[in-house]
Amino acid sequence: MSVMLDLIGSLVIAGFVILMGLRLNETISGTADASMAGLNVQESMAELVRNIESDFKKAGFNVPDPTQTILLADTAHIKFLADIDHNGKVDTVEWFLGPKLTTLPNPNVCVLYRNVTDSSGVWSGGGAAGLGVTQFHLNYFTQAGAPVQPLDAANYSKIWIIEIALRVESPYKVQDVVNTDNSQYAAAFWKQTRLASRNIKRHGG
Amino acid sequence: MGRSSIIYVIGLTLIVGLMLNNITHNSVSSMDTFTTYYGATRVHNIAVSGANVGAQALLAYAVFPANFGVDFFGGHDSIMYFANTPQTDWVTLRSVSQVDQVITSTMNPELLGLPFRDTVEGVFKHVTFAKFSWFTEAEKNGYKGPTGTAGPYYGALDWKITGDSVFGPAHTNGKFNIDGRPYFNQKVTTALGINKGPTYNPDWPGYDIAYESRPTTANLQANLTAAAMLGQGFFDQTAGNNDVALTFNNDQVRVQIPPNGSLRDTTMAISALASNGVIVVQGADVRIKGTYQGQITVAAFGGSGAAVNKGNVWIDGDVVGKTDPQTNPASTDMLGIVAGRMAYITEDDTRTASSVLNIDAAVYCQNGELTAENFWNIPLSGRVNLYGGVTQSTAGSLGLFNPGPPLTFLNGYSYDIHNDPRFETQQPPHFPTSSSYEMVSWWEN
Repeated sequence: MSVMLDLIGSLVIAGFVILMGLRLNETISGTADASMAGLNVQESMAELVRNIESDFKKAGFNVPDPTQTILLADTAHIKFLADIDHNGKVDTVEWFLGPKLTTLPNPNVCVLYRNVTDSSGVWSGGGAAGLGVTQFHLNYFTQAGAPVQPLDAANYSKIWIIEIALRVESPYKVQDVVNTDNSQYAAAFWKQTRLASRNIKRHGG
Repeated sequence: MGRSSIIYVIGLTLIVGLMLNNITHNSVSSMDTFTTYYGATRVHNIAVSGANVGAQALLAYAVFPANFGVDFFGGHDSIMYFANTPQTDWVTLRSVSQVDQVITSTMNPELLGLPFRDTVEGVFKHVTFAKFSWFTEAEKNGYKGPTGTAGPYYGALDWKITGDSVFGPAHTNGKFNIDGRPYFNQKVTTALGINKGPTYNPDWPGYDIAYESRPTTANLQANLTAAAMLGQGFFDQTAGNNDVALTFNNDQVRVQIPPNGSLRDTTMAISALASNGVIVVQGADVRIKGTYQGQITVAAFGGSGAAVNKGNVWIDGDVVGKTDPQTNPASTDMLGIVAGRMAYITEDDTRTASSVLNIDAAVYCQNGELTAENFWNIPLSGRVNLYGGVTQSTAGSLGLFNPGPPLTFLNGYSYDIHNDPRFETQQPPHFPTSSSYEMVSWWEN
């Protein structure tokens, strides 16, 4: 009888140990997955931010009349002039958010595009700048901080400051105990509140 | 049971260890990404700060600043000034920063282990007076006739009032007198602030306090004379003080001395008259009209004795570029008019209220103003379209009007001044510049 009790007891304990092991395995796998997704999102964000800052700080560079720098200013689409490759020729630089991708588990993921067109109008570089972008929002302000409404072409020349908000999410859900506000997608958010190119600011107002 | 438990525990430990190693690696990579972004931002901020310091030293210089280095924010920044290429009279400021922190992120493997470095470059040039649509030393009338007699409004304040518009940079080294709602499309600059009228309510982005020094008459004359002599465009009229008339016809110019041509009446290519485009008349006035081609600066300077009131430029009719810069900003035709004394729009009583006089030029009057001859005493003469700008000692008037309401023109011209955007980066040959600098471009990586 005691042998039977020992066997039953050991089976129960072994079962608990196995369940604990499986649970531990699942947790660690989820955490590893989340940390990898977080790293990917963060690296994607860092690379995008680097490119955005680099481009936007050059807006108006070598443009003879800097008040004509901004060609299009929408909430998720901007087009401006800049000699982006420092070759003495003014290029047209365009950043915009594409439509939402429908094939991924995260229904909000879009592709952020960057296009550079040289002064002759021939496409000279660009394409998809970043994947996993779920928010790319632009606000525009005058020197005095007054908002300039999107697509208000008459006031493009008054734009001195651009506020940029960018959010990157993983395309699939992860077990993320840190970010609880995003339905379990790994996410990174960046906001530049006062990005002003000196080249836009260099003349008049 | 015991052996299998040990195997199970060892296996589980290995799996968990690998997982934890993976998680730790991700955490370290994540921290590397963060520190790399932080390091790049820090070294960039150091470069920008150094460039700001260097730019301020250049913009406010009394003695041209020397290269320098500075340590701050955990890094070092070197600020260097050198002549720009290809515009050698421009200055390039280069700020190169470095921190001891090295790049640890593997996002850019080729940079791994290197210290953070960044470079910011600013290009500066002397402030050119051609860019101003309106510039005065003082906002008051300074009309003097060709004999030196002061006009009836000499010394009266010049007011910008409702209905006045200025497109482009506007500046005075005195005080702007503003009443009502004049329009300025850009922030104006003034050395002494604003004199506000009773209904002061300007339509503008505001104003800044700034001062721009103009060259002395001696320096201005010496520089232009040297350039004109170099290009064979120098007319020394100190003996006889005969005025020179230039009638432009595309790339040709008719030269008449005096203006009736009794001493000289020749037509030649502008490039043959002045290979570098600089034409200077010394000891007399110059009269101009016509359609010009190329880059030209026409200047007149007086002298002593009979030439004391000489050095005027007379605009006898339309003076426009062959390729209209208003409709074609790529036009390479540009004209500078430099008067040691006054620039007069010649009295022409055949003009009517619907007449239009077009001037495509940057006008500079060292000791006078752009005005219309006898503006208070001529019939209504229509409008002057000045596409370029005017820099003058005093605020020239072109006409007389009753401010009303309703606003009523009584004599002379109304005017419309638009700056020529090309003059932000280009200027007619040897057109006067200030000793102070302004930024042309700013490059950040």
